[in-house]
Amino acid sequence: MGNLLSYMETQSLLPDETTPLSVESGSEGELHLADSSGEVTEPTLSRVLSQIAFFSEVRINASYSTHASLEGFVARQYAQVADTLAVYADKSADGARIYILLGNDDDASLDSVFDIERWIYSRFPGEGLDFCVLPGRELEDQIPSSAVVMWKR
Amino acid sequence: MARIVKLPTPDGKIIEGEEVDFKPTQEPWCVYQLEDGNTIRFKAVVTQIIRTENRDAQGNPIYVVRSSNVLSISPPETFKHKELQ
Repeated sequence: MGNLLSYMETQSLLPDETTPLSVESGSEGELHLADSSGEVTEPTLSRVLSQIAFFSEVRINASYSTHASLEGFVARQYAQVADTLAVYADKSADGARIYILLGNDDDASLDSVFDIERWIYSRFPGEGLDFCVLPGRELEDQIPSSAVVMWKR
Repeated sequence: MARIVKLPTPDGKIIEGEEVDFKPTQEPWCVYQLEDGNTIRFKAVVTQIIRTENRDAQGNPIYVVRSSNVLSISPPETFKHKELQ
């Protein structure tokens, strides 16, 4: 709440650029707003609420363990390559093998995939990640049944 | 060549910023032991850093940092064995 309060104070929250608005936090974390007339006009309230929404969005960050899993994160990086059809992950006690299924084997797609692979290795060293690129839809059969689809186009 | 991006500010304005290349020097996992026996590792992975045209009260450039949360769950050994049976 401190940062929000500080921000709101520095912004002065002027409803019409002439009426300062005081902002105080209550004993239970609530905010008390008041201007010199003791009223809060609707434009002011709207602005205050939009700023609270903005800061709430920044300050409260919920991550679902499925969506934010390391394998899920990796899959979403590969999903940025236009030719990626699907990403599978086969987890083991030591890490995970990631299967990247591509629509074709053109150089641009492969370069993009290997760029991402290098990036992931640099950001997640020691995680036991192993990558297997399958350039062609027909190669999907080579993915073991134990692998789980992390992303599919 | 620096990439210019447009950014929304808290007060609803749109400003321009310049993407800055960076190299992570320390990016450790935070580790949390849960009461239910599982261990959660959590990490914020910064994917983009943008320098805005604006400066703070101390004169420092204001940056926008975009990141993703990544986490992994390690169940206790007893749980793994039980599930595999």
